Amino acid sequence: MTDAQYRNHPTVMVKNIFLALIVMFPLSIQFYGSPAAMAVFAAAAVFVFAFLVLFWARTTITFGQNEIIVESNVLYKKRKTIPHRKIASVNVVRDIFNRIFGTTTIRININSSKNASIPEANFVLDAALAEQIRNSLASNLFSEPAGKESEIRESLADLSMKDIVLHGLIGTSTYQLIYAAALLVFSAFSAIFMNGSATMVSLFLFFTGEAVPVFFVILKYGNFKVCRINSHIYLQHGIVRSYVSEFDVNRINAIRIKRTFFGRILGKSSLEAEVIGINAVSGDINPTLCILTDDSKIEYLIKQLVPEFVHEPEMAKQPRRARLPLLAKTSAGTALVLLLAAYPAYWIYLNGDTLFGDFTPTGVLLLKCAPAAAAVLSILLMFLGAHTSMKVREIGFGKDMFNIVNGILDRQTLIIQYDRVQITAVSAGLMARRLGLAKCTISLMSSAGYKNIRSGYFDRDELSRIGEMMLLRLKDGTYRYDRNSI
Amino acid sequence: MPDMTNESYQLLNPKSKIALYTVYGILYAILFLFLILPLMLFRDSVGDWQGIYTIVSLAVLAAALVYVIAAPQIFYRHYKYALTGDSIDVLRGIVIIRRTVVPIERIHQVEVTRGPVNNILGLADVDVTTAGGVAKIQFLDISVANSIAEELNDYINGIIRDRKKND
Repeated sequence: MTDAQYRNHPTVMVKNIFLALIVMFPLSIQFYGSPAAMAVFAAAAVFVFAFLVLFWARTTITFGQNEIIVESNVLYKKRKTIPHRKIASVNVVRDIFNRIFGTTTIRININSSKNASIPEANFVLDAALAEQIRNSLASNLFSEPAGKESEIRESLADLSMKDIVLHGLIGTSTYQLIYAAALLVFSAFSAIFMNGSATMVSLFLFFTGEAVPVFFVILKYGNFKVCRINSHIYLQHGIVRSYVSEFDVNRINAIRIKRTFFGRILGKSSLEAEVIGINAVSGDINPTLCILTDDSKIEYLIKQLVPEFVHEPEMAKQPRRARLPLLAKTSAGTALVLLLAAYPAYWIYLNGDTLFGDFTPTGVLLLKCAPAAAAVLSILLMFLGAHTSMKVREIGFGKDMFNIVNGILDRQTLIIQYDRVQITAVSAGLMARRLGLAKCTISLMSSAGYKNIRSGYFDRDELSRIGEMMLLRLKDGTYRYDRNSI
Repeated sequence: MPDMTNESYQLLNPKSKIALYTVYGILYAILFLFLILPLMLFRDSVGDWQGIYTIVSLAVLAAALVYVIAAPQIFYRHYKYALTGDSIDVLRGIVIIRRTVVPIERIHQVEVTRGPVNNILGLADVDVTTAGGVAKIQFLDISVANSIAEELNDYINGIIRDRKKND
């Protein structure tokens, strides 16, 4: 690659000025009628526009043989050098402005725990030029065949519109769904028993907290395609804005098979990955390798897409004696809820007639009892959670990887490579120590900086194996620093 | 200077107890003000809630006082660290005992930090940063902290040099 220097496409300036105008317009209405204020405002507007023009004119990106250099010289001089060997992924994004102006945004991400979630360089170029540069970078950095088109023609995942809609509705978080349902119930309750006083607010919260996010998830994951070429995984999705990303499979620290509550009922799961330096393209903390679809398809996809993570360890549930520390924790939680909620709930029950006097008699009675009912419900849920945890939480050790299963409502199976674990911490409280049990926290570098993954209560010596395996692989030379070192 | 090849655990400097008593004492004073000041300022306007607030506040303060008195002794007794040829191993905790293992190969950066209390007592912490977060060896003598940091840095640079040679 020659040392070619580029500026952002001029339409970046147009876009930024347009966005600045959107912000300034309401302010200009405020100042209208006061000449002095208008003059100050106009001066500020001129300064902002001049800054945006200067920023465009004095920011350049140079694609060199061994590094990428981003330089800007507006208020202060900045020169950022990104060595090719530090680059984790090169992604292209086409938002609505890109589509209007025929441009593409190139995002370059590096392997840094501090900057993993923010692109190190973000540049807008003419679409054809961007494609050429991306291909050139990809072939240079990742040994990808030059000239590969960013459009994925054949996807490994065969997904329908129903899958995408279901992913939006039940594929992300069951807790969010319960919250949304509670808001709908409350809005109905308010309409019937509270003279409609809180109906609009709860409906508004329902739309902003559930309906709108679901709609955006559908827009984001529409046309989902995924494929693997050599050691590279390519993702493409989006109905209005298209997200295209690629990364070397060696950048994956762990994969996650996610089964939400309703997903499990329908026999569906989704697949996510902990990848270093990909987050910037889609805003995902964990890049989605496949949206919610049939379990059999996910199994097939793991074998085709990430065979490096296929292993079948013997999984072990939490031992029976783990019930004791779980029960002790739940009892402590119950005591805390009682301590915090008993008096306020009693007080609200006594004074409910005065507090809720405007509502219907049934409404008043229900609201008077609500805090006590919420406290009892939260205690029941804590015990149910502890009971379910015994059935759900599992751990299994393999030669190169280990699995952890977590989650009460939304289950997730994590498959983690020993060589990607950065820190292990095995911890145990008083009771767990006496029973020879412990929990383990595993720290990994993730796309959002770093991530801690916690296990349930297992035999302390078993959990210590994770740290021992890490060290053993370093000692006996199984660990390949050229593939794993960050 | 702790032996990098000796896997036996090292104990902390006894001055760590003074450092912890000082820090916990300051935090206790803040908690005391946070709980007692509202009672003094809003005595007349809290009505029925004054009695329950006072009882809860006194219970919290009593529990915190027991913790402040006992915790530094227990912390000191539990805290152990070992630097082996290939990992840092730290055992720590008051109620929950935690054993942290950091392979030296994973370390990106080593830093010696000294807060105001540690500074007065001639103590320092060694912070080791990996791509998966930070681990600490706390309350070390400054000279010990510096030599650990130096030795770790030498070790890491050695690994990098060896790899460059192999490449």
